Amino acid sequence: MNEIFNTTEPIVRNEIEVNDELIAKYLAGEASPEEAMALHSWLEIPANRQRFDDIQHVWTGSLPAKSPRKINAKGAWDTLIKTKTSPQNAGRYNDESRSNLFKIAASALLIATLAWLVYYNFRNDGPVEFVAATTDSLSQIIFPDQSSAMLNRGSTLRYPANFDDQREVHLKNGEAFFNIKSDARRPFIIRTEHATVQVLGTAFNVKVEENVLEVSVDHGKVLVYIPTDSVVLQPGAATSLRKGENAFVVREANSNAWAYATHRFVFRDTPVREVFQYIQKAQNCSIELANPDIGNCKLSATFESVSTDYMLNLITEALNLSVTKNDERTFTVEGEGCR
Amino acid sequence: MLEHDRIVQEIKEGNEHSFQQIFHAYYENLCHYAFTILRDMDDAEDIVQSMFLKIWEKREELTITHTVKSYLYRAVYNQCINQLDRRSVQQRFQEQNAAKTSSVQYPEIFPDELEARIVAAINTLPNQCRTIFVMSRYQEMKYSQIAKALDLSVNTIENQMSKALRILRAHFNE
Repeated sequence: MNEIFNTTEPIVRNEIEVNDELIAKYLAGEASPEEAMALHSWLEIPANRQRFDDIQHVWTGSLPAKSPRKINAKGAWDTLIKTKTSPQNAGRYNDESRSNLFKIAASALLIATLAWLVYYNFRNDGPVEFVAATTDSLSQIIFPDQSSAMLNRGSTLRYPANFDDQREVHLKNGEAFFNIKSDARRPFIIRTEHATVQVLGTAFNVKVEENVLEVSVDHGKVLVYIPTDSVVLQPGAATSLRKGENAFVVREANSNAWAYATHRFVFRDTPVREVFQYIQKAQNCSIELANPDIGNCKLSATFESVSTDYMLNLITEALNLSVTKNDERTFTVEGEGCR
Repeated sequence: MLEHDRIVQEIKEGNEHSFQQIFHAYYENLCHYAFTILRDMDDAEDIVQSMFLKIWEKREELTITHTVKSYLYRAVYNQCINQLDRRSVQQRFQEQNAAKTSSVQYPEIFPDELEARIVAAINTLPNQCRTIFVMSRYQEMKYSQIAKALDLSVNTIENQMSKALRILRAHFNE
């Protein structure tokens, strides 16, 4: 309860210049106490007030849901008087806030202790980092905050043993489907050699190849940025960035691209050629067409968590084709096909 | 300075009228300042009110070396920063507890209720400027975090933020 009396008071200098930068800084909650004081004194001049109000109007207007409500100084004073003049109330107020403070302090201490133990145990040469690398199988990674990633074949992901102040991982190469737990105070950041991907909580796919980055969003929204550009991807949107390009182009995402992680395929009038490409990628198999015309047939179907054999049987039956399994991972599809 | 010494002395002696003067002189501005940091007026008023209450309850121990005003602003600032830390501790706690049971929530980069007109205005900002504005306004990142994420100086963030508001102002006034 004593903390406010330990407040150190730096000497106030009145030479702080109030300009648009300072106003923006204040509105964004970045002003130091000295800057806030300088601004408030400056606001006592009506012309300044007008300039401030104009800028504040824009700040508030960009997020109307979080507009400040009116401050009721009189009501606050009345409450304060009641609390402080009644010994009973004053006592209760104190006990309550003391016990709440105690609880908060206790949980903070507990967390601090746990965090320290982990830190102590692992930290010898800087923070401990894990590297997950896959060759020909998938790998499910659970991060310290319970967010997860399904790492596709042939991919490498580096991530720290714990997320202290920030949640940041590095997708070196390959592809992963991320499912991120929400945390408004710590955005989840995926660094790649081409661009940085940042989210609060969502599910999306990131693919890093030597010359191109692809990000597609399943649900939630994702911010992708490089120093010269940024783009906010809505659900169902995707973007790719080739090496050397300095701007993003947005297109429609195809959820079949991350079926390796979800085992869900959705086809709507999709040419069989394309259908098989998605299946080959997700199921890590190869499908040969005995006749190129087969690729022209169109398919509408949804498959969820079914085997490759089962999917191919259904597809070929529906299109009056036949399928032969050559070995565990190779199939041949025969039939007349479509024009 | 004499006036200031007198008021502090009077508060220490339990003069409610002097206390009320100080309260009314600074309450609103302090709440507004706390609001910019916490982005929630209920939390802001709670902090400023309980600070005044503590001052009154501990008035006999009150030592103010500079001005009352700088004392109050500094105290509010410190309390707000503590509150932000507490929020993130609680959030991490809830996150761990919720991990197994509750369904995942998906907070948005742009809040859903944001009008298309506003999103369109923001999309007209130059790229770097837009990234910085979105991070500060919607992701509630601190200037220092943004600077680190984009490998820029805090000074650049300050410039770009004020530029963003200047450009948006033209759009909003249309």
